[in-house]
Amino acid sequence: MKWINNIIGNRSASTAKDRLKIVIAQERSALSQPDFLPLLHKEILAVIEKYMRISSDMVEVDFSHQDKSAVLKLNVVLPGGKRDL
Amino acid sequence: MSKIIVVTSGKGGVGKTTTSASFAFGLANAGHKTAVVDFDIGLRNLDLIMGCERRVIYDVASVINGEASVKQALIKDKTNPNLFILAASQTRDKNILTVEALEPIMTELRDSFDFIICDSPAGIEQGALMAMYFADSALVVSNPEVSSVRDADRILGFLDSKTLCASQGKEIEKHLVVTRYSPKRVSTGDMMSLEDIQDLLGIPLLGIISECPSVLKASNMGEPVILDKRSRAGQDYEQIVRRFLGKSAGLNEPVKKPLTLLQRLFKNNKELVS
Repeated sequence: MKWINNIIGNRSASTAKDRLKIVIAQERSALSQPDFLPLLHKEILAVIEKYMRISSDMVEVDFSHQDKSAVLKLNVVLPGGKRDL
Repeated sequence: MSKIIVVTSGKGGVGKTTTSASFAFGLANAGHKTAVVDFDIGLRNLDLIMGCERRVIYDVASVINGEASVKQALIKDKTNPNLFILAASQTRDKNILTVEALEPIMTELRDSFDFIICDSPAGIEQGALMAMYFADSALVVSNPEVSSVRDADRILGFLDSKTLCASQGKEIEKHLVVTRYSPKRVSTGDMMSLEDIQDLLGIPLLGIISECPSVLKASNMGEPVILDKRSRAGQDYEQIVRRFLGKSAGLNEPVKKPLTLLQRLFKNNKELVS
């Protein structure tokens, strides 16, 4: 029966695991990071907002560790992709 | 006229957040502008259940501390343009929730939304008391299980004494939602029936949510279970929303598992024989 589970059953569980991995990693790093990081997130957002009309849900901010360095990933989705933003 | 509705239970794990998410989604789907607010400071989960955990930038605490406006902190739902989420803060001290701090936020929410759903934390601490403080109406969530019913009764006491409504001499509107209900186990006498629970708590029943595997699946996916229209629990939440809005008078019947094709064949055979 395992192969049936693999095809139809386990999709939502693996989605759950993937989502939790990200959230938990974010929260752990938030706890072990200096306090200025959330502020930094917000200021980066504010700066983008100065130049473009963008709502906060179009900006994803990810913080992670890779090897010995920390990576701040910014993913900004621009509406329409035109210049007259 | 906008309405603030607290989803509360006393006991943890009975389905407050699941109910908040699906109830809010249902109201928004019916065309009402709806905000759902997580009051569980330090242990937020509504964002996960609604699937917006990666879009939380500001939260209740940032609004209280003046770092963001209510508008900035509201997260638009992925699919429903009428639905907005205000997340709880994950790191800060839960004592930031006070009547004085929340009053301007709730007033602003009242001005821009038809319904404001307050997802209460478990327990009877500050967070739970603040979630119910401004409410006009309460969904009291309980499982058909002794500790859950007892805690729900405790919460009823708080609703009648520790809320703004109570202090103004008005009675808060109370609705019972029984979750994880299994008619099969009721019929074998292993589970308290709806009548039993209503007798004990003495508040009107808004509806029941059947024990249903789709609830776990929906939370895995980060989508309110009401979106799973084919699932029993999804239909149960639909019915609860309709009843709340006065669009349906009937209770959702606690139906036993639909018969499988094989069972149906056998049933028909039996009927033919007899």
